Amino acid sequence: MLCSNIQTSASVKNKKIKRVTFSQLLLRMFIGIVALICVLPVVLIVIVAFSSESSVAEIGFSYIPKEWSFEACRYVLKFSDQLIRAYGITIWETVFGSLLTVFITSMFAYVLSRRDFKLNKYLTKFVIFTTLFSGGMLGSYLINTNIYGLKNNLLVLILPHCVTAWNTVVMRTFVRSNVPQALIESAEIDGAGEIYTFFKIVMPIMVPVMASIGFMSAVSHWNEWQTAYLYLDSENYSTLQLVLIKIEKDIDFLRKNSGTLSTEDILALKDIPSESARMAILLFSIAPIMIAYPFFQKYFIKGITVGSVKG
Amino acid sequence: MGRQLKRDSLISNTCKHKGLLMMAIPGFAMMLLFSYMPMVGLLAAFKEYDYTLGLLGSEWCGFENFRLLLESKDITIRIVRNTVLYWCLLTTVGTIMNVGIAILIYECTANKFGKYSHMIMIFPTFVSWISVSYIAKAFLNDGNGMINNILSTFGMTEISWYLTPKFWPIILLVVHVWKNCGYGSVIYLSALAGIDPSLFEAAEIDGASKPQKIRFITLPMLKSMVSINILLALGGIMHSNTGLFYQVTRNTGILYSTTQTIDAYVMNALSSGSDLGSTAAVTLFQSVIGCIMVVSVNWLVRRKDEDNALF
Repeated sequence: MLCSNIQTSASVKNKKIKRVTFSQLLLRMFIGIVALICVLPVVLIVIVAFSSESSVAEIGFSYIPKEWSFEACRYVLKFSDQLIRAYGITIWETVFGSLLTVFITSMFAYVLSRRDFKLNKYLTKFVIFTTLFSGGMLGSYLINTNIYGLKNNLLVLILPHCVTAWNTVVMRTFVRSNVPQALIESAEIDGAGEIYTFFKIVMPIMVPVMASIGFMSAVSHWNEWQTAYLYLDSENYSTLQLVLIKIEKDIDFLRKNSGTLSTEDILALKDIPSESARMAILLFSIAPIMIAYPFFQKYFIKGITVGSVKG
Repeated sequence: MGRQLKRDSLISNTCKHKGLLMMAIPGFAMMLLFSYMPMVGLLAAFKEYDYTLGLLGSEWCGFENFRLLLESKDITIRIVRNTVLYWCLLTTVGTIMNVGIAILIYECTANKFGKYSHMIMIFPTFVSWISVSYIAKAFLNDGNGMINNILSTFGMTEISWYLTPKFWPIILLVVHVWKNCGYGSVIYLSALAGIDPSLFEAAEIDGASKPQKIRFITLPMLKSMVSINILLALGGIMHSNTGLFYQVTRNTGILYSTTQTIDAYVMNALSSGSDLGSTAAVTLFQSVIGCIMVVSVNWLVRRKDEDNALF
């Protein structure tokens, strides 16, 4: 009697555990499917980049190519001059753009965070006003080309979006909530100058937020296409994204203007990469982000959660 | 007398903090040059813009550009309508997806699986828009696109996606959700992490099932965050992503009726070099409406929840 009682209670317990795990399993399966849907389009790029040209020509884009090949990657690795230069310019833009952003924004944000600096009342208004009204893409274009002469100047890639109200406010909030006023005051009493205090005492505390903003800025520089598209039209100055745009443009142009030649002929004639080669170039442009992402994702995620807490 | 004293103190305060002033100058200058000067560029709305004469040399023409806009009101109404309607569609569906995913992941955060799946879902945000347009083409292209391949294997007629405007609201919605759902859910997830677990324990003791707990605890907890986010997003109702509406649609003329938004229109005008005067008029209109929206939204948010107001 007693024994059977224990048995039933044990089996009930077992059943309960089983049921919980089952619903969890269902949940996990569902989440897994959503994650799969999110990643599949990117996987397609990888697969097409590694499938042979004839396979793409025959059965189109597919997750199961008829034939695998490194042909396309070899094409990219040959690195035409244009591609190498584009890679170089994009790396330059990413590194210097994000460094400049972090450097200038952190100084500006630190100043804005100081409550004892009276000019701040006006500086804050000055920063906030840019979120209310902007000249937009067109206003910037007219000023940058007409007055600053930035057309076909590589500086246009790093200067215009260098300091934004959003980043400044995020950093200022961080400083206000993480750097104790007493620390700054004691540094002052010890005779440290303002600039010394910032670089030696405040900046080390700001490292997490600087990393977040730096990585966000680096990704947006790497993926940036609008500025390059509007301002750079010389053959020598091209970012990776711009190279990709130009390839598609050439193809569209040829499709519209060719009645007589077959597509393959035109592609060969104009030295336009085939479908799989194009995907390989695309893969080479995404690869750095794919590789860096797992290591830096916590900074990316922090970037918006830090921002959602306003001071 | 009192005023005199106050001004003196501002100046003397600034003099005292010369170091701070110096650190603020680069950020200040950047904002002045690249955020404030573009507003001046919008003066082109009142000029007959001539590429050879530039911004300063062009002739003033009063409200002529605005008259032109009213004259071609088909286009003006179309782009404004598209912008606003797409904003509504993308924000509503986007928010529902973000909240849904946040809840799913929250229910699964106890184990690593949920965390890694979420990491994968966030990745599309860091894929550039150009890459997205390549991927979209791989799916939708006429001859070798994957969706058409699948359609034809099942014996259905292929669809020329890039020539059929009526499908594009759905296509753009899918692309938008794919790219943003994971990243957008991060802030909701961080809000969920702040829920007091004792609430769930109490509900469990009262015999609440999982769906009941979500319905009566999780969702009400997210309500204020959702409404604040939608309100803040309302400030950008006249803006749209050029990556989505210009690149993914490949700026195809046939699709303009359902895809062209204000920003895509401006982008097209800038890259094709059409009449910049009337484009500036559109931008000015967009900026003024945007400004009114931001100010009124901020007023609303401030009444609801002071902490979340922008300024």
